Amino acid sequence: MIELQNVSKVYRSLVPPKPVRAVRRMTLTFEAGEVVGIAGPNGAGKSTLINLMLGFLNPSAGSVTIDGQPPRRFVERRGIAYVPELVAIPPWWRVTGALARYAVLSGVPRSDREERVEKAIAALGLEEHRGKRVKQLSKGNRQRLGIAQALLSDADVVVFDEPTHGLDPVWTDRFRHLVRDLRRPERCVVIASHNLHELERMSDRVAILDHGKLTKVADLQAHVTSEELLHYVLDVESDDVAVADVFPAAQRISEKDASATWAIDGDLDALNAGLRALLERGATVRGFSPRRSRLESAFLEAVGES
Amino acid sequence: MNRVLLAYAPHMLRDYLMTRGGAMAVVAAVFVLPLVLTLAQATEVPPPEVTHSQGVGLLLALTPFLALIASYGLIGQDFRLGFFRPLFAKPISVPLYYAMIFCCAALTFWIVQALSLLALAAFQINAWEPAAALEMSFRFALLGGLTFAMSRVTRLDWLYAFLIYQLAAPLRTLLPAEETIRGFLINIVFPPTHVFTLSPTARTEGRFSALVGASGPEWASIAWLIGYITVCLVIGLCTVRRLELASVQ
Repeated sequence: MIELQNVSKVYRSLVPPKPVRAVRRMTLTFEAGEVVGIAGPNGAGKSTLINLMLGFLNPSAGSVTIDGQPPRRFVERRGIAYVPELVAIPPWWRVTGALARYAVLSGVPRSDREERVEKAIAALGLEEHRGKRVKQLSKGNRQRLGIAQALLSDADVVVFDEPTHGLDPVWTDRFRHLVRDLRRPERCVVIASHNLHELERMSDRVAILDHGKLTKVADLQAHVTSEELLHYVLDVESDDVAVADVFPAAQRISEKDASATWAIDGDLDALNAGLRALLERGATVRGFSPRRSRLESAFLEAVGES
Repeated sequence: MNRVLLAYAPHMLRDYLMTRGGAMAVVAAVFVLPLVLTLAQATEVPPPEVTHSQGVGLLLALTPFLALIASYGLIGQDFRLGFFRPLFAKPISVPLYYAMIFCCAALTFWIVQALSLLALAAFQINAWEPAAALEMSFRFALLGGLTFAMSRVTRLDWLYAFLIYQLAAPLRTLLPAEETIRGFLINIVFPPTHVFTLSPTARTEGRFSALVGASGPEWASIAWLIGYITVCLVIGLCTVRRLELASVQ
């Protein structure tokens, strides 16, 4: 659906400093029916990538296409549901008025407009703010309004740039449900975020960028392979010798009463065998949780611990 | 024109009237009030032809101010404030959107001028003069068009447009087109404001605009104006189409 072929983007200016290479020879495809995350440290090129997808920026080299068309042509014909990182809506507009205007611009038929606006207001919990001007809204509510305007259309491409920026934990969680409801076979959802935990829970794949390069695409749908190194925290009631025997590389992190917490690394088979052996030696496992999520591990591996 | 944009036109006009129409009306009131107050306090009512002439002159003088308020940052502001992001992710043509905003500006200009006419009429000043109205429209489109052409590239669009507009006539006098290449270029590049200059005989004949002569409209001047205004508007729309919409770094 969205194809980036060898895309580079260089920001040039007439005066120093030197040109900035924001995106370097990136090739990536976003398919219909999937939710793809874009992660990366600050300045990795996430926002530039999103701007290239929307046709707000032109690539310096390579090509970006959506359904085989240049992005601007696609957007001007079919539109994209887009939530920018900083939601900028004229501050003198009222919530309902703003959504009504965006509904018109999204091409929602007149007969459906009111219903669509009401649905978006309800979905984002903006009922009590409907009469307020945008300038009277808190940052979180403005972000919700930004998400609501994107949901008005029935676009096949949905792009969120840091969508939970400013949202409280309740609305961050609800946003996840909104994304789940947006899933359709013909729709491609792209989410750029710093929040790896959030991306891991919503995305099928996550493209990890660093210094403008695509360093890794983490497939979160795939099962854990036997070779994959996993990082876990083990909270166990056992003697230290037993733990050290079973997991020679384990590092003791802390202890409380009779139990101790250990950091252990290993592949799936080694971890299973180790836990089994510990239980056979009479240990009581009080907790066993990932020290880093899968995406976090992939991210750190891709961009380096620095 | 894009159907979605046509459906959006009433919202656009209302927003435009709310944001800039108010400011334009205030400036118009500042121009109209002194004349009205002077006449109200006068012991002797001046003859209608005098008040007519004063009224028409006032509306003509008001035009550049209204044009600048109506057209400054018309394109650039959306980009500076980030409003363009949710807007241009919608299925609309960006140049058409701004062409429509320019139409809203022109419409608002005429609404404010009409209100000024009505306000003057309420005090028995008939300021309606078709030739002057034609000139006002061209003056508005010329200065507004110049500002529009520069709106995407500089936030000082109004200042540069005003300077170019004001300097056109003195530069033409200093460097006549037929004498030097520089003069020739100035004649082409700078707006044809000289076509508005009334001859002393025209003034004595009671004419209000050089665009309409004794034998009818001055078609050559009108064609020059239309051409220049069209080029300005096309440049403005081309900058929107050709320049990148975002600047992220």
